[in-house]
Amino acid sequence: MSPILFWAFSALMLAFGVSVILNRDPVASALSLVASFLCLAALFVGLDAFFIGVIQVLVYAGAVMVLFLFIIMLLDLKAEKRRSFNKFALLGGAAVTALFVAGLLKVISAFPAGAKPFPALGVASVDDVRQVGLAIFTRFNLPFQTVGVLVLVASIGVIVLSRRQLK
Amino acid sequence: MDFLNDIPWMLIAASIAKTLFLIFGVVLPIVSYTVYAERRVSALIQDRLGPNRTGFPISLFGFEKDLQLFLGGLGQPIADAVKFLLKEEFTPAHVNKFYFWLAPVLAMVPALSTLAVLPFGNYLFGQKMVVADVNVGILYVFAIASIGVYGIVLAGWSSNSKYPFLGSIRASSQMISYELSLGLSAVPVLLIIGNLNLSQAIQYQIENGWLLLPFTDGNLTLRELLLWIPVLISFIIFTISMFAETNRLPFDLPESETELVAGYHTEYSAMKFALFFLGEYAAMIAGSSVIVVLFLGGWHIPFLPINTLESSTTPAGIALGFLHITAFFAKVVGILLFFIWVRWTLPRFRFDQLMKLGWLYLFEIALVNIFITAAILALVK
Amino acid sequence: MFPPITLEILVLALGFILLLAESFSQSTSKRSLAKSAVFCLAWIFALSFFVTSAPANPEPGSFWNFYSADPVSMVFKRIALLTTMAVLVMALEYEKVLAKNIPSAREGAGTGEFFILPLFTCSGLMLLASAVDLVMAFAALELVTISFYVMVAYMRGSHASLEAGVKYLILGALSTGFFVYGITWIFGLTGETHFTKIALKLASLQGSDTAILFALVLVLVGLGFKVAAVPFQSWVPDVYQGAPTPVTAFLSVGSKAAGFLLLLRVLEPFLGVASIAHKILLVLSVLAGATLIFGNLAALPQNNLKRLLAYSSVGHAGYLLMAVACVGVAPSALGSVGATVGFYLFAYLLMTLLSFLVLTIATQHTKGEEIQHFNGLSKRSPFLAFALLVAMSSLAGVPLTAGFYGKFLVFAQAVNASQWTLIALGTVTVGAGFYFYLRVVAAMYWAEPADASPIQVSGLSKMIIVLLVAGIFVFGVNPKPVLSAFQTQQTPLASAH
Repeated sequence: MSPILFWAFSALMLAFGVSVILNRDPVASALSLVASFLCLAALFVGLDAFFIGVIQVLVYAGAVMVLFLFIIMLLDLKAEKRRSFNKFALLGGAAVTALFVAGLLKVISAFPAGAKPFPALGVASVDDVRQVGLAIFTRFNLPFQTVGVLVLVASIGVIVLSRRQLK
Repeated sequence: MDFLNDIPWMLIAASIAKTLFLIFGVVLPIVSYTVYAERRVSALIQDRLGPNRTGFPISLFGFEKDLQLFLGGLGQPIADAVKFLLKEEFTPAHVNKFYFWLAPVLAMVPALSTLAVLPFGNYLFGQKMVVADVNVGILYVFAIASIGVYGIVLAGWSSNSKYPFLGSIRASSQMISYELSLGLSAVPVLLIIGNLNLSQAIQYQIENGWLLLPFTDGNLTLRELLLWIPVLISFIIFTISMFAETNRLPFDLPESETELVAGYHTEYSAMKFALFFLGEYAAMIAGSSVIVVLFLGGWHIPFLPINTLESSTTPAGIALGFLHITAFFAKVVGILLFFIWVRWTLPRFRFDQLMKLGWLYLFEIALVNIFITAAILALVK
Repeated sequence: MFPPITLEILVLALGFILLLAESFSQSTSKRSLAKSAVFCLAWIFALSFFVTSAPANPEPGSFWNFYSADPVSMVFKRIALLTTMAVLVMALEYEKVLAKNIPSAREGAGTGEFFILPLFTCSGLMLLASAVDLVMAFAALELVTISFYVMVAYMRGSHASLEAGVKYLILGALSTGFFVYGITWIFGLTGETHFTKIALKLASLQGSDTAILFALVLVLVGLGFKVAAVPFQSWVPDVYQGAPTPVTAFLSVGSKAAGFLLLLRVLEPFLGVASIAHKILLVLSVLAGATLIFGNLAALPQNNLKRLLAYSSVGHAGYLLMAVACVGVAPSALGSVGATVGFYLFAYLLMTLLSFLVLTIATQHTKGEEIQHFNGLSKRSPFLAFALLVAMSSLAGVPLTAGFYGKFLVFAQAVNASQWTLIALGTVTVGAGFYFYLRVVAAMYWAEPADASPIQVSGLSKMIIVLLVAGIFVFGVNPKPVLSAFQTQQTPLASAH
């Protein structure tokens, strides 16, 4: 991937990520998150991980966030817009973030493997969709099935918790 | 300035040329003439005349009369376009301005972006006729198409009035619901082809016959015959879902003019409205192209062998290249005419019927269809 | 004899069948669902003694790379099964309260899933007990957590339950984020997700101590939420109080057992890195100390019994962490620590389930969960009062109970490891514990009831209560059977080596 594209998309992704938090308007926050997801997908594509990039758009930007936006619009959260920042929360959040970033920087600077460039990835013999499929259905089958049960439980939960009247 | 050398300028130039050709040379003309065709065909169906007067305005350049070709009225799209461009760009006072302006763009861009992975021809001037030949082609189409919902949702919300809002709620719930059956109905096809790349899909159909018409390669095996059943089911579900995805009648509830004025674009006018219009028709073209690629062999012409000459820049090769591009868009136009025909034949569904059809029938049938296909593929060699 | 994964499959199949039965049966009563679930779980429990062991050298692609069936995981599986059975019995007792708090078309509608979801949690716990790979552990942990999100918020007619659900969901998601981020660091460092392979890679990794510690700390933060260690305990009181009582019981036992088992499994490869082992122990000791102090001292002024038990749950996490912090730098010590933690968890399970079962039954008649509502319970139902007395004594650590022996083992570990600060803290907090646990007993036996009508206990509940009380005494006097079950194997991972 061209370094220019990498830096451009990373910077955009982070900028939109910050804008998710700083925007007082929930609709703007949600849309910033969508934009952030799209930039993330672009990064994946830049790493030749087309499948994950496209799935990122299809699932998160195209389905999950549409529903989020939908609900935000239906709720019409005008009160959210008027709310101002709580100074202490802001300070605390900034402090925690600063600490975390400082820790991360310290770790990375003391990390020998971080100093040398990552070796180039070999060219895969089969395309990435097939590889993902093979990994899921052969090697990682047990965790995959477990996740299947998890999704079932989650959907039961959604129905149970959201039906107006249970029958 | 090392990195400038790394940039594949040739590839970028070729891609831009292909994109420009595809959008301005083919798709936008098809869009404008689809609108025209829509009016003429509806007139035909309803025993009227339709727009048959507007000619090409050569009288502007000093000629006696406007040029009338064939049935006449072929200048209508040009007149429409000029009208859209020259109308006042009106923004109502009660709208949320930023999103109001953003929405038409978001409706238009994804629709055109989906065209990037569609192989609309074989070779022309030695270039492969697809802008981006990615290995997740069909998923890319679905992904980008799913982004198109934002334009409609935002249009309805930012208009700050009730009809657009109702329209946009309907549109987005409809699109999200039918995305499921759309994606699931494509799975059997992908299972058969064994690849997500759309060029490979066409290649498979060249070698084994079109999926919908498996005899186009000259022979018909038992396996192909058996697979025909799920493919047919897939085709029907895919097409119906495509109608819902593009908000066409009989599923045009988002803009059902009798109850919602004009749905999500009630407050829009001039070029902003035109963008919605373009987006909708571009989405139709993209959808039809996907149908053509997945089920109707893409640019392949039956019983016409693929010539190696074509990848060269000889006149014969170029002619063949254009022939294949024409074949592709002829098929697309065929599907578009089918869209129009359905629109003026079937009455509108009720919203609960629409949801019921999507969730209770199409979704389940598509799901079962996947298992049937998998079983046939596994059992019949 | 059949492979151990059959147990999970059976539990899941039971869940699916009951779900279908719930949807399609004409019967309006959902109680039979819970009863048949308890019955079938008992059979599965019995079957768990007839499983084959893991193959010595699993094939590269087989599920044995994610799954182990060593004796320790088998014990944890059985614990999960027993807990689920007790929770289902509790849920049966709780049905009336539940039905009142959900918007239903008719009496008792919508309670079916409440009896079925615990089965999925159970299968998650069982899979987690066997997980020897971070991917598997994460999937199983999320299965457990997500089913808990649903169950905690199940009474959506009750404001408290909804609030608990939202709090648990948000903080749980946050902790999951930390956990996954930690896993990605571990994977980035070692290129492996299997615990044994991670251990091998970590031992040969030179000069990356800070990065390894960072990865572990992220995982510890994630697990800290699950086991309710201070400073990640803030969700506990509200969630425990707001959730339906059977879910609270399940949460305090299941979530804690899962968290500690995973903690031990994750710690093992890291303790093998000699240069950072002492730092890890320091972190664990600080966590243990903070958890001990907060859990026990904050419980002192509580008047709501469920909230009290919530803080007590934090306090017990402190004792468990104290045992973990005594693991010493040599990984060989993990075996005995594992046994201590295992026994403590087992004892905790008995007494917690007992207190919540009594709480569930009694609160339906006392119309409240405050300690004053339990005034004079001994006059209304000597049976329940005695059961709660046993539970409270065991939680406090009165000799001859399982709780006492658990604490004794923990302190013995601490003495061995010369963790004098923790011992001092532990002694103080045990004293505090005596005060707040015995306050409940005092209310039951020395206060006059506001309403002296006797309380009836159903047969099934009576049986479970008797079993739990018996368990507390039997294993308090003779802890050998449980301890040996945990000690047959040196460490949870030794079999995989």
